[in-house]
Amino acid sequence: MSFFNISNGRSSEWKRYEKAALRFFFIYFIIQAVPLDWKFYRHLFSTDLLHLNFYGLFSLSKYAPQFFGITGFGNWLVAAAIAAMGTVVWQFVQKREPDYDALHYWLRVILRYRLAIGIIAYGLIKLFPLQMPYPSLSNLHTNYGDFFAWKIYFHTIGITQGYETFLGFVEILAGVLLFFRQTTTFGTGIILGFTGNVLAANFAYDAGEQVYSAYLVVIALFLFAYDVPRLYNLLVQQQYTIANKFVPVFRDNNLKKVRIALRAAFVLFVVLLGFSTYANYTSGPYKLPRTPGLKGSYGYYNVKQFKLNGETIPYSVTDPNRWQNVVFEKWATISIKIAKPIKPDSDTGGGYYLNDIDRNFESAGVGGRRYFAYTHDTVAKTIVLKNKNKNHAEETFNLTYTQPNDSTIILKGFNEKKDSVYAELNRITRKYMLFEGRRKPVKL
Amino acid sequence: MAIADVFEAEVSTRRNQNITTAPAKVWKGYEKVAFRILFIFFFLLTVPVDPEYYTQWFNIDWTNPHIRDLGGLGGYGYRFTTIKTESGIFGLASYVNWGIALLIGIAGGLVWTLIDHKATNYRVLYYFITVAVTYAMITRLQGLTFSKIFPSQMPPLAETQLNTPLGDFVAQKLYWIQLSLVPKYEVFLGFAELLVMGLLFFRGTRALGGALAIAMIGNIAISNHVYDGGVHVLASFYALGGAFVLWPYLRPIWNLLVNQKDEVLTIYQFPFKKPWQKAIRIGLKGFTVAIYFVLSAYLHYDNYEHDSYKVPARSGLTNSKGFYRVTEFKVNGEVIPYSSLDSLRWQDVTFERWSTISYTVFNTFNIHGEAGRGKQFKDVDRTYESAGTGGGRRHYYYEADTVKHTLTLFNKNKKYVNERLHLHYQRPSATRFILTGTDQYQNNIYVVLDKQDKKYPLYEGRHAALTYQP
Repeated sequence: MSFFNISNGRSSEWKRYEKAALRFFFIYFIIQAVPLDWKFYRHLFSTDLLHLNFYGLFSLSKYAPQFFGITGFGNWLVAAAIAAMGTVVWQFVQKREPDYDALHYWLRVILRYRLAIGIIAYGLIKLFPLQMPYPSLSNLHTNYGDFFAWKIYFHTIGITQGYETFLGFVEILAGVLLFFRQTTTFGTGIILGFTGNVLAANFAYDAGEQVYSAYLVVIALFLFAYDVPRLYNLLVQQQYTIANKFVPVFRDNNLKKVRIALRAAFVLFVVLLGFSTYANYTSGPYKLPRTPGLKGSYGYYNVKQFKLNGETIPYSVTDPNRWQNVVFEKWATISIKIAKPIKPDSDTGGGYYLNDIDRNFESAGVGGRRYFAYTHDTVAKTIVLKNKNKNHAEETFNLTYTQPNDSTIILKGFNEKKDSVYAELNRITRKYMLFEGRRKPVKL
Repeated sequence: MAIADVFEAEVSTRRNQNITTAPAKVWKGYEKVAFRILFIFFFLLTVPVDPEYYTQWFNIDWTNPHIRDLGGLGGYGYRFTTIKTESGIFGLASYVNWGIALLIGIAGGLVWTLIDHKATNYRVLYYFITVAVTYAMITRLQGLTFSKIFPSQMPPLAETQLNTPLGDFVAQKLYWIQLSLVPKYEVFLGFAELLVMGLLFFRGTRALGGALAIAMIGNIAISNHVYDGGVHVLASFYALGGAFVLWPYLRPIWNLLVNQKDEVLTIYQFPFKKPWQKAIRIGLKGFTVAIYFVLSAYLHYDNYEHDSYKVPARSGLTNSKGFYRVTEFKVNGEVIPYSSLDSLRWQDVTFERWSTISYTVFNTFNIHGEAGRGKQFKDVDRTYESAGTGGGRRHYYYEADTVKHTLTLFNKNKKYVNERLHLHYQRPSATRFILTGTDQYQNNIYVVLDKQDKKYPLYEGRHAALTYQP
């Protein structure tokens, strides 16, 4: 098969069906990998280069074509249909046969760089652990069964930030190996193992990136297949194996220049992405709200006393108004446990938002607690809570706060129905098994 | 050009080159020294020298074998010592036996160098130590493989785990139970491990098996370190073994793919020409397949079907499984209203499909540092569901007398192993329990439990239009 370049240095003789197959793959993968979709350029030019935010670059790296609002694997079918038609049309309109070796080479080049960008971008948000943040205190106070599966998967990696960094390093290493023609097989080998597993996990935990991880795996498979016959012959058949002797020759000076320019652009993109990802990690990780919380409030609170419209409601796990406990995060979010039905936010919290209330990683994919973004005024001692869940966006509390001592917060005010609310919160200092670990004797 | 044509044209003279009949290469001095050291090192790590290993084969009731028997049969390296410190369990010191084996290897290798002046190479020994490492990997991997394919290594989540806050689990437990909720993924990982075993089993695919073992089980080893899983030494062995197996293939692969030079493997394979040699080889291969593939698969299947080893075997009270609210609670006749801060009053209760009950109180307890692993005989010792959790949740194994309607509760936490509760139960309706009796502090208690119809987001999934009920 000419696809595998086993011609020992001479130009390959492509059979008819091989030519047809290559034309198909060429069109199919160009559609999939090269940004032809106008939406990409709208996005590119709306990126503010002066205030370069990492997510703008990151979403460029996730490019995959979208046809007329079709989602998911449907787009693959459209691309395949276009490629199938293109393959036939190409046959009839061509005046001269292309150099199929060259065509194959360029297709591989494009796919190598496309895959490298995709894998490095994801590597970077793990190297600087942004993709799976450490679970918030509210999340630590949420029952295991109350999370959606994807969130359990994210939290399980999130609790070991060093390991997340290591995983990122592996992805980046695989990406760097794709820069070089001769090490492509090693890079794609790593990606097939790594992203292959990510793909399986995405399906298992419904983590929302099934299509994109499959997209990367398919490209890796196409690239990896190139050396498979050689490896099979060497390792399994254990016979004398002829190397691929292909070396691209660039006779055209302009082509040489273009090649250097594109390579430089690519390296520049990766460097920019690296710096901006690092900047986001150090200056305000994008999945977490940015505004700091009320000073000295971080912690888990029991609601010792609770009044609605002046009437005290005793401790209850069934009363739909009674606050049971409250968590103040380090940032401006509090979560309250109230025995009231919740329509959970089904998003996977992966988006980039300027406003804290939209940064929903902490509150997405979880029942059990109600999450509020808040704004507070330290002079007037007011605090306004707004529910972060789109399904409960109307829920609001307009409150005043007092801190009689450093473990008590008293909140007074009104909810969105103008009912008056009074809550006395007492901080509970407790240990967490997750932090204590199992190395030493624990009492908790 | 098709593959075969190229070979016809280019290498017809060379393609039949037979490595085993080619004259042996002369090894360089340092190669020989390195080999002697590594030979002794890997010999100690892979070949059981402990007579007990061999006697256990004869102590097994072969008419009725059990998966508990298989772990030992998988073999183990010589255990010189164990260090009982923190580092000895979780850190660098846990690799002490590798260190000792390496020191013995170095000492032995040097002595060997002094007395052996004749050998020009050790290709036969190299072949057999590679076989030893490969087979040690296969025989030690089977238990993990088949307990994932028949998902019992990470059994389904218990009700108590579903109702325990995330922060009350130790990292190791979170690492483990993340597979409990996705049995299909656990099966997938089991098949990936079976693939490693299969690839290692054949000469032609050994290099691939080694590479996969490094990537997959090497990752498991690292995970065990970061999550304090506790089985890192076992897992690291596969990565180390994989590296040893893969080593001779690396240079040819690099040459072929990176340097773009024609290549042929020059790895010596013992020819097994004589009939008795052939018989031994086929016999051992057959034996491996029979014990470590077929028997292991069957026993794990049987265990999965009938007595999943991490889950208590005794079943719970009929239709009792679920999450219960504590509607009423009296101690010595006095009603204690619900409070999130009461150290005696139970807050919620779970019944499992098997005979375990758990409840939460607002109090602190000593936690036993076990991981809930191993293949325990007694139900009270099967602690997968409770090990590694805290936060006031208490777990009891119970024995029920369904005629007298009594329950005896035994604390599963090894720090409170003598705690007993003697209770009488009534079930006035399908969803209500009334428990009366004495608790572990000799108080008379009266408890009314009402089962909640809970739907867990974890299982409902994010595409079901779920309304979470508190």
